[in-house]
Amino acid sequence: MSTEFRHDRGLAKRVSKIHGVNPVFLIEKISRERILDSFYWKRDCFGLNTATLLDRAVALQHIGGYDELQRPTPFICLGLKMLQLQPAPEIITYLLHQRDFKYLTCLAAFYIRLTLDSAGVYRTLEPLYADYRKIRYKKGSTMVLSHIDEFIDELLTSERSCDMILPRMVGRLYLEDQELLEPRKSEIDSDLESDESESGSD
Amino acid sequence: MEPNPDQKVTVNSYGRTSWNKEAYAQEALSRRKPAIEADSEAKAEVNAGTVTSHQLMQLREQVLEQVNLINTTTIISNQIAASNSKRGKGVGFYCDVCDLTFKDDYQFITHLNHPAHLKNVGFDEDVESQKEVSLQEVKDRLAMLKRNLALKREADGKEFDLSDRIKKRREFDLKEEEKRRVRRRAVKLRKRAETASADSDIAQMMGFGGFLSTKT
Repeated sequence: MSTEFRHDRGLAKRVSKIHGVNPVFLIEKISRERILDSFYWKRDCFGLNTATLLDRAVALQHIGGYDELQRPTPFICLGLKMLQLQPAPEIITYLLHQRDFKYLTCLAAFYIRLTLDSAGVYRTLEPLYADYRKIRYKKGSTMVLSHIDEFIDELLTSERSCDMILPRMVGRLYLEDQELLEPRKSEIDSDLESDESESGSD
Repeated sequence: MEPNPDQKVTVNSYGRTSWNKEAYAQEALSRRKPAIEADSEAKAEVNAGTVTSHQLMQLREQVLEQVNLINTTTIISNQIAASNSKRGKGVGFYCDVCDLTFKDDYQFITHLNHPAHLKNVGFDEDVESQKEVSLQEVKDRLAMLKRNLALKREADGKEFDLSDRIKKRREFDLKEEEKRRVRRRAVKLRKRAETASADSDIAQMMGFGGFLSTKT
């Protein structure tokens, strides 16, 4: 424990461990250091609680990891803040499903991907495949137009997102074999069925 | 001769002076006591963790006004000397709680987050971070933020209107196109002038400046 204190800043206090470690360790060290040294973190993320964190999250303009000068974006700064605060699960679910602020939805999805177990991640995030709202995604020096469902797909299928290594996930098929998950029902199934029924009636 | 306990200075029969040390010590202690008491009272007042997180953030906002002034020009009294020391009020970002001056905003904000500063303000992080936020509070907060956003939009008179946006964009594009056209024309003219002058220079050097007769 003493070595942790000597080498790691910004550890979360009075929170339960996630994946067997202090929650802030889910963000790799180099990213954490950059975030802790960034101006946005020092100025705007100081002394926040779960309620006041929303003020900042609502003001988000884009998602992404680092900008061209390797400065962390506000998005991942708030991600680290959430890991430190560890809001209750029902709060996270509420933030994920509110429809007023799309970047807040992204932030909650990112947090869920980092903290929940594989089955939980699939179960919570897959319904968001039906969310087609546009988002700005900062990749280095360029800003890319993306959509929430694309971001969710990135979270569920790739190892990296927002310049960060995500915790490893168990494959979906394996979880289905273990009967921890139902087979996925695609969002376009209902569309296809309705198309078929229409063509059948013709 | 025994020294009189009431007298602080006594002179014996040979003219030698002696001082009553106990009396002096007592006097000094009585003089110091009120100061010590006042000091400890002030410390207790500050260190009790009386400042809540809300108050701290308000205070912080006030202090950060200085940082918002960045890239502006302010006239300061010339009595403030430029100095290398952080202590005291100087040119830069000033923290009046700790009486320190910083040369850049990054250092200043780092100081504002520092445990030493927080202790001076009277903020106890441990007390504050134990407060739980409930789901209802989160809902209320989001509702408030949504209301504020709507109000702000109304105040700006900017109700989102797609056709208006498209019209503005078209105007902007036309303006840009016009600018580009002007620039292109200017470049073309300059190039033409350059080539013309270069031709005449070479021609003169070669001895056929023009088609006029060279005989006089």
